Amino acid sequence: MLKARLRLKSIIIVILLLTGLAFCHFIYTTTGFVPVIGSYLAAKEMSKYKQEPAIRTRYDIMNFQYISNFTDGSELKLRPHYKRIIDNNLSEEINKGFGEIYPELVKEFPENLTFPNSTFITTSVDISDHNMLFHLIYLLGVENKEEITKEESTKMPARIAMQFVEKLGKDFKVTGIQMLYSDQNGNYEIWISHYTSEPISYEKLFANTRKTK
Amino acid sequence: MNKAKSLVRKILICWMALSCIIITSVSISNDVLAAAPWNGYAIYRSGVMWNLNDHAGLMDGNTMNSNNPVLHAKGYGDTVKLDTWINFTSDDALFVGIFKPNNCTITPMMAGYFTAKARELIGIPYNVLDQIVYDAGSNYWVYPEDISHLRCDGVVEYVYEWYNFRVGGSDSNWNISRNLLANYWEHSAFFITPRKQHTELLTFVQSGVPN
Repeated sequence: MLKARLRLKSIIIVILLLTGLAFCHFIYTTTGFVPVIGSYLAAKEMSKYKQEPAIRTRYDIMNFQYISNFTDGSELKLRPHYKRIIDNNLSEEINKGFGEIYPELVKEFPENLTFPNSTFITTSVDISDHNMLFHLIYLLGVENKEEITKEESTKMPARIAMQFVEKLGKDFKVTGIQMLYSDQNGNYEIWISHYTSEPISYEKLFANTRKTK
Repeated sequence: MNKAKSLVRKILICWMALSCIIITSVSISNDVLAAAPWNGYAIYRSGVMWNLNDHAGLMDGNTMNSNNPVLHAKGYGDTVKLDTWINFTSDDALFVGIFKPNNCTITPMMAGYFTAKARELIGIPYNVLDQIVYDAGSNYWVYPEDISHLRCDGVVEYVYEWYNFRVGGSDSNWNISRNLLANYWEHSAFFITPRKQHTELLTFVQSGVPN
């Protein structure tokens, strides 16, 4: 009788533990949040990247990320479930450089294409290889004045985006994009999250093109 | 005499028709790209809570390339502040677009009013649960110094409604800056969210970035 009770107890404990683990795993994969030790682990990762200890680390529940502050007033973000560090100082620097080459890049496209006056790029850093950077480009408002068929229109945003990425060169590992494109046949949008290590391709861009108007 | 009156009437009608055409052609211009200055306009990006919600900010600079062009309540543990474009857009978020209050033409003077009022909110801590938290005592209006917490959409709502441009809330209690319990409740919890604000309560201007 006692043995049976003990067995039942241990089965219940194992079930509870497994359920708890499954729940924690679900929370981690969807939000990156690790109960109790999450802030400590995040601070450790970000301190390693910054090469100085973080003075404060907190979990940002709205954006599902850990934020660490440092003595120089800077801030780093960590999204553990995507294995990315977001260093906005680095992102600003890269965006500035991108802003300088952007007008030249745009000039290389045919005259029937109008690009926005300026745009921006965001950057995230691989958690295990800090030299590995991933970029997300925003091309919001590319207009094509050329007369093309509806079928051509659906392919055009992906084609232009791919050409743009190729012209940017191999210094930029573009894995994500938000693009708004319009021509006589309507408006199209491409959205690809950059939380992947795969660089964007024409096929991926085309698969993620949707007509908005 | 009658002829003169009729002529004046015709001129008046022509003038009104011409004005309507001009106003319509301006407002129906390309919804992706328009021109600066953008200060005083509300901007939104996605990426909050599995993309279930959005983040709001107000343009303080003329374009996104201005120095610290965005004023926003950044998030938990932070305060209302002027910030860089990159800090507003965050990471891996869709840029939703630029919006303005309904029935409002943001003239340079109006933009000046909006940005000046918004700057008075700098330093107020962020709050998740309500758009605004304040203790205004017996004041008729809620002044910036009465506010203890603001959510990102609360910043936009407070600035626009201070100048009487209705954003959200019921017909009688819509003004967030009016010190009444009913008005407070209208702006508490998630009756209004950043996403609801830009999809239902404001006028869409363009989906392109402010440049």
